[in-house]
Amino acid sequence: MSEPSPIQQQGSTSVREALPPASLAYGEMEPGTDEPRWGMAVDLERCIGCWSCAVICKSENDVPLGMWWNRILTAGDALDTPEIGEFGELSMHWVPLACQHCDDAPCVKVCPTSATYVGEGGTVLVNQDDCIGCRYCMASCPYGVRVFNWGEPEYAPPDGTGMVEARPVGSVEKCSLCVHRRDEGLVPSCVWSCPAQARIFGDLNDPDSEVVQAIRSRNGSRLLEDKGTEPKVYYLEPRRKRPL
Amino acid sequence: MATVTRRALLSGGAAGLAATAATTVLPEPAAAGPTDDSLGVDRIVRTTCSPNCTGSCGQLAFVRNERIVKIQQAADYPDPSYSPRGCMKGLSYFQLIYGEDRIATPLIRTGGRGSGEFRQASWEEALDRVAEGLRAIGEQWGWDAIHVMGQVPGSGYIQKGANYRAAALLGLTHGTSFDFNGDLPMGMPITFGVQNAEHESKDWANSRFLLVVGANLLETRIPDAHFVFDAVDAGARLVVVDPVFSATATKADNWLQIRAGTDAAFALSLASTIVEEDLADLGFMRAYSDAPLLVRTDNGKRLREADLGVPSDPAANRYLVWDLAAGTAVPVPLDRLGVPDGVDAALDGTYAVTLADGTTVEVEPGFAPVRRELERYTPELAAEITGLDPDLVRRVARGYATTKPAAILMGGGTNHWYHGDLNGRAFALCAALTGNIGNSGGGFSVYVGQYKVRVRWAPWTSPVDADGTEHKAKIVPSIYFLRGPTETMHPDIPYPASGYKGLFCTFSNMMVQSPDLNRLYETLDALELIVVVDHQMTDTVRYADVVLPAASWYEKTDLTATPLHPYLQLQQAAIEPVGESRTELWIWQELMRRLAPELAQEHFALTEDDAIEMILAAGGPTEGITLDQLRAGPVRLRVPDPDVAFVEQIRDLKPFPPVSLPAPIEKTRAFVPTGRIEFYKDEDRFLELGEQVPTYRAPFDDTEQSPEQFPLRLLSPHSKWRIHSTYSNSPWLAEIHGDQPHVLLNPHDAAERGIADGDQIEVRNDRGRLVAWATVSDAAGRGTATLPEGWWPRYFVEGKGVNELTSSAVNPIHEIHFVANMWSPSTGWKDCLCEVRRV
Repeated sequence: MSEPSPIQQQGSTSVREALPPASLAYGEMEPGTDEPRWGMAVDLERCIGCWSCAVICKSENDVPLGMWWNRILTAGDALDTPEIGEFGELSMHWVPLACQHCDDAPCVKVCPTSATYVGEGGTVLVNQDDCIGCRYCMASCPYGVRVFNWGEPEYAPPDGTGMVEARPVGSVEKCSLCVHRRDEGLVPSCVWSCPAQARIFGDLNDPDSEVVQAIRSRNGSRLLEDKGTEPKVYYLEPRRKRPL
Repeated sequence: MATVTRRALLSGGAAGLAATAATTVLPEPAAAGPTDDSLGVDRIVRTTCSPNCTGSCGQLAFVRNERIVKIQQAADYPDPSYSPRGCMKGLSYFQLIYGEDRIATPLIRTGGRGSGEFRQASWEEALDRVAEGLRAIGEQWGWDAIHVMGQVPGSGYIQKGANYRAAALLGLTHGTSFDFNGDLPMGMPITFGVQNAEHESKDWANSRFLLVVGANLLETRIPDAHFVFDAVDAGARLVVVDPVFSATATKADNWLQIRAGTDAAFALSLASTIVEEDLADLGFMRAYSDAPLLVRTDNGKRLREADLGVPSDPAANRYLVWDLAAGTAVPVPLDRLGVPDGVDAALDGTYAVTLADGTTVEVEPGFAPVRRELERYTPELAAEITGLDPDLVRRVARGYATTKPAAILMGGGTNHWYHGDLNGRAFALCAALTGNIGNSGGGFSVYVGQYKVRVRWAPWTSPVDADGTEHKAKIVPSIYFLRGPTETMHPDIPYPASGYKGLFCTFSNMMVQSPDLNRLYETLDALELIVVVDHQMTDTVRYADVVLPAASWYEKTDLTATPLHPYLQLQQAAIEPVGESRTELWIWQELMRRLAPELAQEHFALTEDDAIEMILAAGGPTEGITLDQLRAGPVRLRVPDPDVAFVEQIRDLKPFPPVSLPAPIEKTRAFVPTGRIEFYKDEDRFLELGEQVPTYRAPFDDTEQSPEQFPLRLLSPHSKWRIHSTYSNSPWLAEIHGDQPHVLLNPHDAAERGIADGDQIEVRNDRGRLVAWATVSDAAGRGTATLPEGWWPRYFVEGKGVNELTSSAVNPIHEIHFVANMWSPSTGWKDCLCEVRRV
């Protein structure tokens, strides 16, 4: 790797310390149980396909150009283009997609160096220093959410962005549910930054948590349930319409 | 085996949650990954995103080593339903601050205009050059021959206000923006006497029926879109009217795919159904609108007391209603809405009155001609125009009329037409007929632009000398700068006697974002001096003689507000200006020092904070608000909660209009002389053009160009990926949307022309042409070609962009009165025909 950019020096204070009080109050989180299982519900009725969560992810995690840890799929034809149904009806909605943080994660099983591991709260993490770039994990992931750092990364702005150090070339990377933020008691950035308020984050082990309540009341479902990966990201289906 | 993070080990679990254990059978990694640790910051600065999107979103700038490394929503609104505000564009803005197109030094042109050939210059040289150029024009042609272009003030009252202040002191002509942007909803001043009267966005959640017309809230009001879902969660119906299957249409209970440019016919068919099926609130019409006021059928003018020769008070000269109980015409007070007790005011019929000269004339209530017009627009008759299923339209009309409260949310798609005023008047009629005015969850709200002056900013824009002389900028609508005066231009407009010789352009990529671009370029070629202040190397900058590098909104102080929410907010500098860039205030201070040293000393020796204090001290909406409060975060203006239009009129029977800042009330009162909601207009030009009452007119471009030659309607809506032309060059957004301008075509229209998805196509009309790519999708209505505005020219295969084709036609109705940005010519971007072909 080249020399760290000037902005990748440690700042003089933590984000938590520097946040204005009202902003901190908005994004503070704490586990509801002694053994939290961190998960998320994404409300597909509320998702407007704006990619704010994806862009803040890129910024927060200093993701190089050409790579996305978090993408918004269009359930339709192509980007922001609807599909046409049997009776000529048009339909479209959006599905944000990042690491599903599976309880039974194939990527963890196949990693030969244990670079991919299960961290605190059940979050699937990658230790890039131990990653040898074999990409078995990418082949094993049914969600296609891992990206590989092929060459010298390019950033815009060129010095990079965000709150974490640049990762070594030749390693696999993906969503960490902003582990560096959660360590400071802050919700992941995609949750903070969703202007449509479509993401609910919390402790899946806490039956009273907002996220569990939402999953239960809206009958939340998970992607590719048949794979048996037991994701910790749930999706709340778009509502049924009530035409006049 | 328990796993813990490295941070938890280091901190001993001080963060609390980190020390908690999770069980797993996997081996603990030797060391945690780099992403486990935050690099932290040096400081976080609370400021406001301000690209004229109406968001006015509080943002946090995360600064490390004097660089912004992240922008994230402040999410600190006292009303938590407003948090977080901010979208992917604002979150990516620092890519522009440090991007390849950033201008870091003053530039002086060395090649031909538009060649992009410049040399770097010192500020001293550039300012001297600009001052000399301005003085040369001022002394030879008059200072008013210089057009100062700014943009809508809400996104920054101080820096944009500096333009006005300087123009006022030097005698320059300041252009307009809200009308030029086509956003001024002329139906509002015509009907209600106000500039606009939208509800704050959180009030959408209080509605039980949302009728969204020509507005793509999910893409162009991203921070507010969730209020639509809040309403739906509480049981509201969502009906979306749009020729294109927009993002907003995807969420609708009913999507009405209207034929483009026929919105007034649709609105009239709603109103027609409401009246015909006895769903109208006639008591509301009688009390608050001009429906009962008598109109003479001989000349189309309203009957006044003076006509009868009995003015009890010559100054009052009241209007009259026909009292069915007494069988005579009786006056109604001008200082109070409603009808006097005991008067049974007729809303239909014809009656005879004897004038002062003894002649008898026939009169009828103003509602009678409105009703006659509606009979021509039953859903069945209107279907010929709109292409909408009459049964569905009737169901929508019944739903809208019987569900309370019901809101109409209108956007640029409906407003941006030559006859946008008629569109607005027709929807306003629907709102009044159902009593949805002045009520939370109801209303007729037009969301267009961050134009609103929500503070008393006159002390800043219009300086006063020690002897009490007030300097006010001469204001000429920018459309006349572009195309010259029209024959019908209002006589109060101070169009420069020598015409225009110079342009001082700020906050605007006008050489991409003006209508009728090829005509604009003819105007520009005749100018002696073009100065452009910007922070990005736009095509407007490339056309400048002198370029002055501007500080971005993360590099300066300003005061902002928006119509979408009632919070006053600061822009606070997070970093020093990049390179040698400077604020607009500083630029004017330097130019004033060169051009008028005494005035500079008297009126420009102050800071942004001084200017903010001047505005706050003027009181009214800012009563009691201090700069210190604003430094800490958003402060709600002194407005009702929820901020709903016309509450005083409806609740207290106070005559229309409420004040529209910064215009004095006397000026806007002339828009609705009856003091009521006016659906009958009796100014001569309304009568001449047959537009006394809300009606439908076919799109105007059908008379300007040949519909046979150019059969498609070219729609240029706002894109979710840009705010006008800002963010055209954002690298992250380009990765998402693919960085190519695409024209959306219906499969039938494409097939007729042999066009396939992805083909390069030419889009052309008599005014201009461009070459871009085709997207063929059923999302497009038949007969439309949709190319979102704002792309920089460099992204097209050929052409300067969609505004080569758009029209600068001026509707003479918009010239009956003149109050800048309030009753003034509004641009009809979407009123534009074209043809496409594969190239």
